[in-house]
Amino acid sequence: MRLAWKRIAADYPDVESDFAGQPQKMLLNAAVLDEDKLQFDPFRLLLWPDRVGDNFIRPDDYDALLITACSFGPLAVMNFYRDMSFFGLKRKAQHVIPRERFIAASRRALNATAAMHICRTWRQLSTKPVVVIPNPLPSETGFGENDQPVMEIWKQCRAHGDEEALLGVFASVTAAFETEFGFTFLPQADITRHGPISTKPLYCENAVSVLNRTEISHAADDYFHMNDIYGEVMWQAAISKIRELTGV
Amino acid sequence: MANPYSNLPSKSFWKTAVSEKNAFNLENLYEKKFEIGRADRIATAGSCFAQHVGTNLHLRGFNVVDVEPAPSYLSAAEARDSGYGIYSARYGNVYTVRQMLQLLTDARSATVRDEDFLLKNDRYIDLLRPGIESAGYDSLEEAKYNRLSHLEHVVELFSGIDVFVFTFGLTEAWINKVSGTVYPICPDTLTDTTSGNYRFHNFTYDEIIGDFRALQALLRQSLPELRFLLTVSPVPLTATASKNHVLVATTYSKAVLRAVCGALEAESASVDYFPSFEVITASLTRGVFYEPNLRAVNPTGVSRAMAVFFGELDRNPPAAAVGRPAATAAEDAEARKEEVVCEEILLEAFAR
Repeated sequence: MRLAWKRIAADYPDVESDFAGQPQKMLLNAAVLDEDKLQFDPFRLLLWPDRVGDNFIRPDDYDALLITACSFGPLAVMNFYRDMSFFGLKRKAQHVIPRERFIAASRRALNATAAMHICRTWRQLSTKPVVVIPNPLPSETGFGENDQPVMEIWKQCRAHGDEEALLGVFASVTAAFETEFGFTFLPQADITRHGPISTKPLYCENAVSVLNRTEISHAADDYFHMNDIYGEVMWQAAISKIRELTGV
Repeated sequence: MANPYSNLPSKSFWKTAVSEKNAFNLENLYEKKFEIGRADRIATAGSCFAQHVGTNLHLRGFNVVDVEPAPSYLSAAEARDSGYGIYSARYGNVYTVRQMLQLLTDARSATVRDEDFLLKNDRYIDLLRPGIESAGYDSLEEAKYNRLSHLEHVVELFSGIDVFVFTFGLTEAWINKVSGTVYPICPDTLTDTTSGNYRFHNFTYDEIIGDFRALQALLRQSLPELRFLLTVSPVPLTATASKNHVLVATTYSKAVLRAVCGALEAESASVDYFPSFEVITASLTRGVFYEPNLRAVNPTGVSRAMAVFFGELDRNPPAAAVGRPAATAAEDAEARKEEVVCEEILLEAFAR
């Protein structure tokens, strides 16, 4: 998203954006500071534009908070699908449980993500809008011939035709959280999707992450990180949504 | 001069075996009929006291099979509340032999009946295991699907065990007037109504022993070498529908069950009876093994019964079992919560 912003910032002269990036584990340490700041764990924190020495943001300085990924996505549901199933799914897993329990388990996992933690922490400080973009679905390339264990469950989901049922669980939890935590969910843009549970390869190729202030290209067989083209699409959707919510 | 009593051991005489003993030093109460090794696959079922046997077997390193283990996302307490880890499959308490026979028959034939589910607060409750997923299911179809899945696990369980530990609990039961299905509790207690769909039945000696023999025959079709370890629950009835005083009803129930176990044990080398009922209820205990409500067995009683059981069954435990860190055992005990799960206790709510 940060790299994508570089591409499109000129198109939005009235929009300013700051970034805070960090591994999920450390994001979970974020807390309220001095009743007006959202303080991050300083370890591997990237604030951009660079604010050396700072490890907080002040909600009063912004019109809205945009949370991207931070483990909030269908993957959390897919993880339970590995060994659990419910009536309505075509694949029968080791544990058959009521759908309500499956939803409860997914809810617990999604509730524990950095995305929801940051959202809740922000909510302690501000009523300003929060928009949440989920982790992208894996690239369609990952559904091809490869032996990546991480893709196995996605392939099984597709093979059994369980996509809609599982996405329904994710949607159900997300809708409940929107009400409880007061955020607006912005789904992965349709244009980027290849199918119900995959992203067009175009949006995954040559993806880059920033680690310790260094840009690192993802491996060709990393099907879960998207590139700046994808970021551009989601930025456009996010700005539109934030404008709608803030009237700014 | 010698008579038939002259050379009997001290355990044969009440004075030496009981009067001169106390609740904690009874001797020679149980002599095992067969070995149960740690490699033997053990299934447990029965009324709530059976949970103690299963838990303690597990803690001592015996191979208690669990074909429906808890999903990893549940905490130990949540898993227990959901009926995981209580018995070898999630059938909940099986209070009567008829219910056990019915379970196995249903499992073998993949039979799920619509009338065995009750709609309560827009949720469907499985009347055959109301303590499992007590929050119910979204739809009848989902409830039946989950029950069928459970029955598949029951088939799996009873096609691969060496020892079946079963605790006889009750003679009283409620039966569906149309289908004849036996339930672990009176279904009408769940809705506090009188539907007229169920009739009370107090199983007789002949019925119970007949049911157990049918159960044995069914199990031995695929498990000809299966050994049975039987116990009778020392837990009195919470309530009786027999019109008798609950104490009289309890005595009848336990006496019949005890007699059935005695007969079954006497007729087969592969059926053993462990007298946990006697350990807990004998007059010399003066009720010391019961909680203040004089119904629930307290931890001391459970511990004593298990000491008698394992003192005989497990005289020479392997080093691994002996050397098991106490903390680990304690953690296990905490995780598995020695408090038993008991649907019958629901009846207490109707006491005036």
